[in-house]
Amino acid sequence: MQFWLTEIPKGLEQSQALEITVSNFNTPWSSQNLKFIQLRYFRDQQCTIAPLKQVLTSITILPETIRAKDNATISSISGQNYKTVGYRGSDNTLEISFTPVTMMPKRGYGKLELHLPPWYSLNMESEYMI
Amino acid sequence: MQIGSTIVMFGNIRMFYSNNRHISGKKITIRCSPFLNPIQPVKWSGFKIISYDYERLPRPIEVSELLSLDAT
Repeated sequence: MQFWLTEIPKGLEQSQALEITVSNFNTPWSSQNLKFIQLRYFRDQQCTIAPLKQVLTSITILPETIRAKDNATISSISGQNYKTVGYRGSDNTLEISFTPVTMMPKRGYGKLELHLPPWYSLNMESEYMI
Repeated sequence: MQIGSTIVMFGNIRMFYSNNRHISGKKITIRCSPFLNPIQPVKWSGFKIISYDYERLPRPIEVSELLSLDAT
């Protein structure tokens, strides 16, 4: 990203902080730690004079976690037994459907996690639905 | 989309999938079996699905609302 400072703000002196705001920035889908951000600045418009370089500290950007409202459904499908309470036959199947806003697996790989409530919990005893 | 491996841990199912392109706006259906039907004919809440990125420390991309299974 390059930009020109055609006019040096009046009163801007050496060692004075200069704040630059960049709009139209896309927040990442998950939190990221941006490292090795470099700021190079030149003394002339032709960029011929050796640049001065400054490495900025890392920035952590908070994720834009999206709550998938109303686009996920869940059901137990097992033919005629799908509404039989306590049914635990091997043919019993849990079906979950959802439409992701985006899934961006890095290098083609990604992870999904499905949380289920306990099947029952009695005193210290509990068992999970799957 | 292909499920490469699955880990079941304390009622949580972790699935590692592979896909050549990012998935967006397409309905995905996952079937898990065997599954234990609830023991009470009520709406069971507490289901949730989370998608993560594949960084060294995976971080969530998308978290669903708490889902309910209608067992009435």
